[in-house]
Amino acid sequence: MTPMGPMDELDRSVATRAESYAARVDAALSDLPPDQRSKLTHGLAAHLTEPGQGGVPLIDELGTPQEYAAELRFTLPTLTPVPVPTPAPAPAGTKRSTVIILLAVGAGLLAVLVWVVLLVAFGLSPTGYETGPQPAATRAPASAVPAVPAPNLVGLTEQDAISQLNSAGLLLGTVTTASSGTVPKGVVMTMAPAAGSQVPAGTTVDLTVSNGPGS
Amino acid sequence: MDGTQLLKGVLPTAVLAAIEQGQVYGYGILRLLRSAGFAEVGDASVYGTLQRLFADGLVSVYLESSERGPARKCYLLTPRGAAALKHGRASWSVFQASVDALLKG
Repeated sequence: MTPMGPMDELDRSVATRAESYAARVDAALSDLPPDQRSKLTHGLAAHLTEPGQGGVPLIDELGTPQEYAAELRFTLPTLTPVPVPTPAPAPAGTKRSTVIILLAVGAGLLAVLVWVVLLVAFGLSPTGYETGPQPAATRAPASAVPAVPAPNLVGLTEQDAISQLNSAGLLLGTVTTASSGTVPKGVVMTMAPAAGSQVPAGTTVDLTVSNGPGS
Repeated sequence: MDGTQLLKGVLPTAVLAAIEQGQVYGYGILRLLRSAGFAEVGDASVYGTLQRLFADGLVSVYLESSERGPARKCYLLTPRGAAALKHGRASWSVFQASVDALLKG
């Protein structure tokens, strides 16, 4: 029997402590199903005999077995699947579903982005309310609508005045009646905007129409 | 955001990357993760992750006998592990871009 040197003594000491430590880690995980637990702790005792970071045995660098067990537990998948004894010959292992999920999220985000851009381009906000202060009929900028000179309506009957307005592409606005000693009843006395002024098509023109002398 | 929670998702990919970079022993993987800035990572995280990777067939384990002291476990990527690492790198890229876009505000 060979005499035990200092290195062997150290190894035995480390091995013993590693066994003891691993047993306590295993105990701290006793709530886990046996097969899941053994998957975690199966090679732990042997693992703990390996050298640590600082050159000393790993076992001497660790916290309590309870702390080790807590951190070990953390590496379990969040949704624990039914344990599979042997790896199935599926492509790319566990990463595939993660990639699919992340690609779906990315595609979803992209779709939302495209939807927002399209809505804004068509003059709507993503909330569905129309943007801009103007109603649909006059939403286009003034330069895009033809401007027409307002025809002279003063001296025409109200009926003729309306005809002229429509021909010019303008609309009748407010009609006010006023008495006049000189202008016959039913004849246009004033118009606003003034005759000859360039106004956008569709502009309303207000008229004052005589209702004859007296009230 | 809690760093530990964030790291949990990427730890398997990180460990695969460490092995690919030549860190075939447990303590080397741990040291690499720590030097990358994850000061809170302990041996349990690395060991538990290696066990999972082994169970999923992404790493293979060899026992290296040593003159001085006990045998050491040596971890290598399987072909599926290499593919998983590639996927992991890609999905991290996508994830990072999405979070960056969301947080830009």
